[in-house]
Amino acid sequence: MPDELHTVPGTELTEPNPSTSLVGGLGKMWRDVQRYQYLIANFVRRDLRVKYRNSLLGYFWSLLDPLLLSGVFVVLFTIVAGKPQKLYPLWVTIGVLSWGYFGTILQQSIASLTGNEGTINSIYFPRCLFGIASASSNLVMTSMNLLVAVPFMLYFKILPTGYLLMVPLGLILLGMLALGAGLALACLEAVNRDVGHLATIVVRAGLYLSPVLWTVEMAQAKGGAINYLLLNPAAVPMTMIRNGITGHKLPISPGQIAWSVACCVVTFVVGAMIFQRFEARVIKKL
Amino acid sequence: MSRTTIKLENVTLEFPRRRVTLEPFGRSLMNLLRGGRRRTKDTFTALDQVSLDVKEGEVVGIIGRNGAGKSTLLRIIAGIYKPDRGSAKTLTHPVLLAGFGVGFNVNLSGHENAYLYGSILGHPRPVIHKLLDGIIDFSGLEDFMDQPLRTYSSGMRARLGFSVATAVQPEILLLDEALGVGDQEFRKRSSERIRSMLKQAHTVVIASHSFGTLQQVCTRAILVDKGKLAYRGTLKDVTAAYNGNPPEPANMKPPQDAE
Repeated sequence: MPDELHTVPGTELTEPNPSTSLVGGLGKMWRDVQRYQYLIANFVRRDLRVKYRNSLLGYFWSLLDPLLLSGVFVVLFTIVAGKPQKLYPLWVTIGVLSWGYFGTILQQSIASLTGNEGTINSIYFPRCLFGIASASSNLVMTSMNLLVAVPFMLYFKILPTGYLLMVPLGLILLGMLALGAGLALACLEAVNRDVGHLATIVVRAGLYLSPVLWTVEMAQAKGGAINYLLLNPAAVPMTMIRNGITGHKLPISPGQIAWSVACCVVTFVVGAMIFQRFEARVIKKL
Repeated sequence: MSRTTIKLENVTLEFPRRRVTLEPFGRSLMNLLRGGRRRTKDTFTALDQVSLDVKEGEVVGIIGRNGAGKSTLLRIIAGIYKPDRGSAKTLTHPVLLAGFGVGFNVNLSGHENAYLYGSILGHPRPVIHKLLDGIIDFSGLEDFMDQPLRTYSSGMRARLGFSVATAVQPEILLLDEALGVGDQEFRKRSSERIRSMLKQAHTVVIASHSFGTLQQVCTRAILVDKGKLAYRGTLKDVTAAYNGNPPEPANMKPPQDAE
């Protein structure tokens, strides 16, 4: 297999890092991802190897943290609101994992330029690959972590249903929302580091404003102003993941689903366009 | 008639003077949206209207004082920075050799790092797979390749980085002061390898303070001074200009008219 990038002479002079229009950015990102698949794969491989360095035990450690957090939440809920429904521990565990997935992608992609300064200043390759690679790594890791639901399902005798297909869909929508926002903010972060700190607070607040401790069904039962929380675009994909595993249909109106899906897709498209447009000119501010 | 492989036209690059902007957030945002092209006192002109044509077969030396813009010029050619004004184009994707082992992860083994670093340099996994024996051979680290990188000494890391970075012969080679790494024996072998790469590369641009090395390899040279292309010609003339006595000041061609 020839190494075409550096050894096959082109026929005309080209810019190594061509400019894109705001609209053309998305197409360029798509071509970059295809051309540099091997690099994304190697970044993902690195992230997984480093994360699960001690083989099986490494994987269990990565489960223990969300499980402990869920345990604390279940205890708190019991103290504050009385005995929860029997599936509540499973709901919280899935909620913690999916919100953790969102927050990690958001924070890693915001730091994708500032955190890779050394590489960026030595070698050129499309910089969107940093964010895309960390989103891919987190998708793999979260999928593996969601296997923690299996013992719950065995215990509660929940059989897998067709709703299970909502899980990958929810993960992809949630990932698009986080990556889109993160890519757009990565350019700002390079100019002004306040953005990263702000994101930490948003992720922390979102733990309560998104359906982690509560479910959409609970919010609907409560009614009133709390329903505005369902405007949070993360609510629908997170409920997709949760109800996909427990085998329930989405308790949400089609209008709200459409709103949330549109938010995720638009955020991703706009974020990718902004990143592609401004990435080159913020690099020198690193 | 040899082809032009690197073409810089009136490249200007300005850096913000302060790393952390204290100006209000809104203003830095507006400046970004305007493209950061506002010329203010806050910017430092790293490259000023630099034009350069490099043809196939040339080995061009860049001479200049610290901070004159040599590395920045190489980064422009490599595509790391984008010119604020003007354009920088190349025929093939260039390879910039400056600091080896970028993106190494200390928790991964030597093998894994070779693949990772190789892919960062633009070589797919099968390419590195084919070159791996040669890489291990050259680095002399065959007994350590399964050990995590954190157990390597800094010299060993540099050897691995160098061996991976120089395993593929590029068409366009950009060198930044990197002519040898590691201990005495490896330094000798690595300089030899660089020399042979210089011979085989179709186009080379090399920034160095070592006039002895430049003397042996360069077909011509340029002098960069405060971001401007101050002089171009044979290495001897450019060195003289660097030392403050250009040979024929009267005949010195303004850079834009050369070629």
